[in-house]
Amino acid sequence: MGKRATLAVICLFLCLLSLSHRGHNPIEVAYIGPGAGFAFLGSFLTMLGGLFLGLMSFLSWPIRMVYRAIAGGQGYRHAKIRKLIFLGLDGLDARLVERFIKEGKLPNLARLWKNGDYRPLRTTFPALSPVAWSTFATGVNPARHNMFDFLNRNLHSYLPELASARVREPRRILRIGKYRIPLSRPTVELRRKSRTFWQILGDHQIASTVLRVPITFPPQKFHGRMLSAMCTPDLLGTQGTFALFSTRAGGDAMEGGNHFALTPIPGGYSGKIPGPKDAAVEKGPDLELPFTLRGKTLEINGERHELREGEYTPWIPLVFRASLGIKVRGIARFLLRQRDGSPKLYVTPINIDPEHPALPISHPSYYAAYLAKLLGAYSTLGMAEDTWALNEGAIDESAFLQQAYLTYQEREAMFFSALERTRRGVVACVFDTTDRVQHMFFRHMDRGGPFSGVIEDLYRRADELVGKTMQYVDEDSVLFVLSDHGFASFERGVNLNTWLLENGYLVLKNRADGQAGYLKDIDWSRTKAYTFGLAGVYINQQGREAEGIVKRGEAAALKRELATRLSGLRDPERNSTAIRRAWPSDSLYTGPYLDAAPDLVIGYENGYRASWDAAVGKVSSAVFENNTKAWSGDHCIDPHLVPGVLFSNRKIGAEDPGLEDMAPTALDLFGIPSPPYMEGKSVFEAHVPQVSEVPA
Amino acid sequence: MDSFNALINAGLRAIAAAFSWGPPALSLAVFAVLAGSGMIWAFRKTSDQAKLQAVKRKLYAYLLELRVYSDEPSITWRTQVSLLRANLRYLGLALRPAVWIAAPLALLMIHLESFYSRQPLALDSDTVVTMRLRSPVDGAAPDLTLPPGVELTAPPVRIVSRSEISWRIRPRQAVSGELQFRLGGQTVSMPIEARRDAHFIPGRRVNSALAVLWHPDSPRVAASAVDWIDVRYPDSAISVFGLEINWIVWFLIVAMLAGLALKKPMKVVL
Repeated sequence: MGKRATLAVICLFLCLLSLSHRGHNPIEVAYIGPGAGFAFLGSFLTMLGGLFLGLMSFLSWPIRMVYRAIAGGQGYRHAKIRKLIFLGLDGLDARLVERFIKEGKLPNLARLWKNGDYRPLRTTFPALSPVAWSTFATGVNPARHNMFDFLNRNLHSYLPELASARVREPRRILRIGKYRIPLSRPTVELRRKSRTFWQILGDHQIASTVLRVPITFPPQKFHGRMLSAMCTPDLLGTQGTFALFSTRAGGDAMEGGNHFALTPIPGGYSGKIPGPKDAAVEKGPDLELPFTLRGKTLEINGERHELREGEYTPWIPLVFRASLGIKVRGIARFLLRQRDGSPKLYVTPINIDPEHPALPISHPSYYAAYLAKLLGAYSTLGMAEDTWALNEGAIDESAFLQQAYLTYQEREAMFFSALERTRRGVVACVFDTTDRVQHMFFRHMDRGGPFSGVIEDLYRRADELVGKTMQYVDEDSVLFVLSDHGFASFERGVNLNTWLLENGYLVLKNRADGQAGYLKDIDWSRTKAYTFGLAGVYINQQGREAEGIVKRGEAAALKRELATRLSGLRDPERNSTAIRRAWPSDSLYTGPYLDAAPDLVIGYENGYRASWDAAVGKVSSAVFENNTKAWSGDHCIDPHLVPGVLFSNRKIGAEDPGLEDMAPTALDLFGIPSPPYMEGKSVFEAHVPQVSEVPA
Repeated sequence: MDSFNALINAGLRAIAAAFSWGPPALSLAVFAVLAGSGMIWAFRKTSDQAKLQAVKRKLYAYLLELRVYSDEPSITWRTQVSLLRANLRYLGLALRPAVWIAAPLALLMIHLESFYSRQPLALDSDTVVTMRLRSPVDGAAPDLTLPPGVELTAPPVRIVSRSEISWRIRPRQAVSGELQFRLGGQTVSMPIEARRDAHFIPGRRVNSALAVLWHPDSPRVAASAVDWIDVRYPDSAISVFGLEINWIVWFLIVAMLAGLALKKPMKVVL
């Protein structure tokens, strides 16, 4: 449309307007079509709505002030600062940070250290993100917040369960024939216990913005804003299931995903993306979303998307249509690759659509939609970077990095948006790309090759992020840059179920080979101890486990026996120590949830970790095996080997600060005394934490 | 221009005739739906849909921000400013399609006036016929010949200051004919409708090429001395569910609803 043509139309329009007084109804001339009519009407209503909300906010201000005074919150009266920023960089390793700073590669962190302070940060037992960030948030040890691992076992069925959250069906369902009409929302229970520092601050009317801090699904109500993170499921209810479509025959079993065959159609291929179950029907089928791929044009949900080979699409909305007109909405990115002229289409796990969340993912509920409208769609899955896709070869290293940094950019936009809007209070944001990239690229570090510098580049990017964040720090602010744990290489897996079997503590069912996952091959009537997950070993204790055989009085002795035998366990193939030490859990933890803890926490040596089979409750043929997956870095080893980092723009008094000190520090900075159950102390007080409880 | 107007009129009459079995609200609704669809299509073609989408998302975001940060007055006020800016941007983006749409829509609505804004003359009621001349009224009044069934109830009145001459007439029976004016050797006609079922009531008949844009119902007056001729018809109203409303309101409502209904199928961001 040329400029002249536009000008001509504008002239005609003005001409018509100028003639409008000649006897015609003004409404007739003012009306300029439904489209523009909507635009003007919508615009007017928007302004009206905005003014109304602004006015309400202004008018209700005194009422809120009175309410706060009555509610008893002290607000900022005793606050030592106005703003507190926690920049969490999951998995940033103390040794690597120190090395890169020495090499002059992290100028912003070096400046922060020079002008403020730095300490390695003691992590939790075990050194796992859900455990560590829970301690960060609550200031208590795991036996008080009930998070010991990603998974916990069901004491009745021995089946592993997600440790952090439980999603239950709606309580009230109206059944009409085969249809089920939910009369209430699904119940989502947060299994992490204790109170977070942002809840306590909120009680005192100090607002926090908590972005993607792990173990915040489902979000809890408090005075502030929160976006859930780690353990937020995908639309299928899993922790992330990708789909891979190719011209090969489908149906391959892949861990963390599924492979499907593309069906040839004229001019291209078609496929179906598997969705959640049709919950509106009794034993409803899995929903599916058909798509076609013609050349590089993807057609899905009636929309066409042009794909670029080797490049992720933006988030594409996926709408699954269930019975009774119910729509279930998710978002996914697509990645097209051509191999020998045949397409290979990778689809990320289907994330909950932040604009139409199927489950609660933010507080207030509209906060997720607000961020999506303001900044664009973003990943909502707990572990947004698809590590399994790389493990399984569904994507390559470059594609994984591309995906990880897209997530990083999304997080960065959210974080800075929150900082721009926070004059006072707390902003806490955790970036987990730092963790995921180290998991997947540790094997490449310093070994030459195209990905040798990936981890160094990751640390440099993190440093740039710190530099940008420092622009929001003034003399009334405190900035903490911290990580929950460090990193080590993961070369050898240890299957303690196999060791327990070989040493007579575990017995398999008749004719079972131990390869059934989730402890299904174990004969509980003859098994004294078992393992699954990454944290440790469990005693099959009578009166606690449904089929427990070890009497309570004998359990302590068994724990000691196992601790002694496992501490210093050697890997004969490499002639090196695999386990530095095994700790009975009651020597590490105190609290009401001690029974949920592994009875022994295993401190692996650098290079070792629980094997993949052991993590899912299998018994393999050998105790030790090489880790051949791309996932080659880990931190679930002796926590003394993988401390995190703590940088602050102020001098840190504590000699050996730990994650449990962060919540009391946050409270202290706002002049609020820590509740007696909190175990840490402000890091600005000169103190030595009670390390005697944490034997090295 | 006369041919162009005649063409449009013929088309509109054909559509109106197809729905003449129903109430006027029905045929007007048909026009409104057609107009709504056309305008939605034109809006999509002439607007920057991507930018509109983006600015709309920002508008929603700022509205939500007022709730998200309701405890922070400084943010609230800043958001108001952002909201205003986004609104202006939105209006700016809507202006171009609005300008493109305005001309054809105005043309259509002017034509539709003949169908819906006037009702035929009532029998046995007086009305005024006015002729404006292009030069001062100084001679005898033009001769007016009335069709059968219409009578003159008062002699012509001259309004010298406006160069106008008016006649008062009264239809005695249903009429669909023409008033004939004889002026300086030229004859000028003006349609007149005085029957119950008339749908098309032509408005003012004009001489000017520009004015015919606004009064397209009849061909231009050929006589150079005449500026326009007008018969004062009673205003019409559309009966919708027993409610008498201005035709333009009904048109607007139906066109808007049609637009709204077609927004998704036609994938238009408004």
